[in-house]
Amino acid sequence: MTPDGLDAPRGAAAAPAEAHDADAQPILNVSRRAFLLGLGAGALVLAVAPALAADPPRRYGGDGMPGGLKDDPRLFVAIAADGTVTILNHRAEMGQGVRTSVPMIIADELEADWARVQVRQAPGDEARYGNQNTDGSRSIRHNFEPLRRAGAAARQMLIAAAAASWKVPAAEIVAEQHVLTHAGSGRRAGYGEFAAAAAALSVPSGEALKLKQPAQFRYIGKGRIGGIDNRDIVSGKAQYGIDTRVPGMVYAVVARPPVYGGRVKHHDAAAALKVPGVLKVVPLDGAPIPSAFFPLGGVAVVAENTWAAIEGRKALQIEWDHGPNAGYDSQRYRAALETASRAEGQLVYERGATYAELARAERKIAVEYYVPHLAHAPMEPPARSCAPMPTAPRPGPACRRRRPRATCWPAC
Amino acid sequence: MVTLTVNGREQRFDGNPEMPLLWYLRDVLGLTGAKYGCGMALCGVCTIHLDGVAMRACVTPVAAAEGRQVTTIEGLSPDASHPVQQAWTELNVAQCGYCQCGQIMQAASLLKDKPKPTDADIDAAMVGNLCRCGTYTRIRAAIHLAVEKSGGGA
Ligand code: FES
Ligand code: FES
Repeated sequence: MTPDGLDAPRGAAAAPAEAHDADAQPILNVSRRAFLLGLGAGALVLAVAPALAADPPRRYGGDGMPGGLKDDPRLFVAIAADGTVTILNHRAEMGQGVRTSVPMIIADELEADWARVQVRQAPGDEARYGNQNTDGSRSIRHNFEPLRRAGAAARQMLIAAAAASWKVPAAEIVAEQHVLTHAGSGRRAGYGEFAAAAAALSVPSGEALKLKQPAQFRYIGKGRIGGIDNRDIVSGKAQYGIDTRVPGMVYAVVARPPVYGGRVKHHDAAAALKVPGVLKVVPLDGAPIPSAFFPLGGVAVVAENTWAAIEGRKALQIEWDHGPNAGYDSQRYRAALETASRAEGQLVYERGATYAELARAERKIAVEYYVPHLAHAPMEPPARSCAPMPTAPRPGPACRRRRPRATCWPAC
Repeated sequence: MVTLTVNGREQRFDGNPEMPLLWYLRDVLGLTGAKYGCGMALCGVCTIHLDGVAMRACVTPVAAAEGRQVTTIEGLSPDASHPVQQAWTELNVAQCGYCQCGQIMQAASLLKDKPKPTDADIDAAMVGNLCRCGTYTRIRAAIHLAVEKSGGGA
């Protein structure tokens, strides 16, 4: 959480609890800006309409994923009376730059001046924002077209509002870099001027929606826009999961089973509890293997600060039951892989006469590559912060995996 | 009791003086710019300056900072205007950014020492700062750009 608690940490969809109110405003974590919430002067944000009844539902790609894909500009774009455009990024940032690229796509179609664009992080809410499962290089592959539609629709709504006010055909109005112009009458207006009127219009879809031609792209593919978080990153302000700070929080580290699938047979916390600052030692059950995305269990040491927790963990006496992988041997595992990879494979698909041609080749090159069996090791250790409900000082979305009992950052 | 200066402000710490500076900065003072990666001086994400020289905060006890000046990324400049920060921003060095506070502190320390480093100087100074995202070539380019920004190392 940032100090004002309004933005989710970079990597995550976390947000204030009102995110889950069924009738909440579509752009949520901007409540300090009342004008964006449609309370005051014009914001292109009203209640969320039912999903666009445009195309018949398709069930492949992003549409086939939980939450599907959304292209309603009212979910992603807010325009304040002063012209400030706020774009919501609904995918999780982890270094791929999605907090820049999602807004860039919308801003390009919207013809927004990037200098007047602000980016906010969406909470985790797939029913509202569409699929948010950020993996598989899918954010842009799946969302490129829907986000373009959202940006283009917002642009057309601004144009339509100006056309109605100026009593000129919408087709004669040009939207360029935050300015609406009608050459015939010489009229000009900023986006902010028509934001409120545009918000009251219906969202164009289907044939009526006019996307840019790729040659008209201003930001997409041009390499002009720097990372939206660059400044925060270089000044140490960017918030990572491990940086969550809540008043009165305590810190925990977990002694994990040294062998995958192992469990605690016996533990003695006496020495750990003597480490100054250690508050509590908690054994944790692990999920049975294969554990998929569920935790491995172990023994948690809770302390006043991370160092005390780490020192406490060092002092734990744990006897492990190494479980079904107790006999795992990496050399044997490697040998098994090598044997399997040299054995005749099962033919799944063949095109051309590969084997016959290879057999006739004058020169053959054979190379073997081996990658050891390693745990994924990101620079930032996996981290999670939770507050028991209902005392959370800044409630975020509840853990949905089980009954909601805690508020978590990043969200579950 | 340890008395030290952190980003220009005097601080007194009456906890365990063996506590690594990293945890004192992050958990006690709430300065989360220096990160935790390995805790063993192997990755460089915790790099800070002690009297202007890059140090690994994860293995430096608070006691070692007695009477000295600690600078974290938050104190490198008030407004991201240090030439290294500017160069990093301009060249989009960061991907996830997790390692970059450490990279920047290491680079700033290098430039103080060698205002016009060669590629070999850069590689030697930066070898202990890992970047899982693999931004090394941009880091090197940004250090050269920072040299230009600070007047060509003249
Ligand atoms: S955390 Fe200090 S070097 Fe890795
Ligand atoms: S930018 Fe991600 S670890 Fe360096």
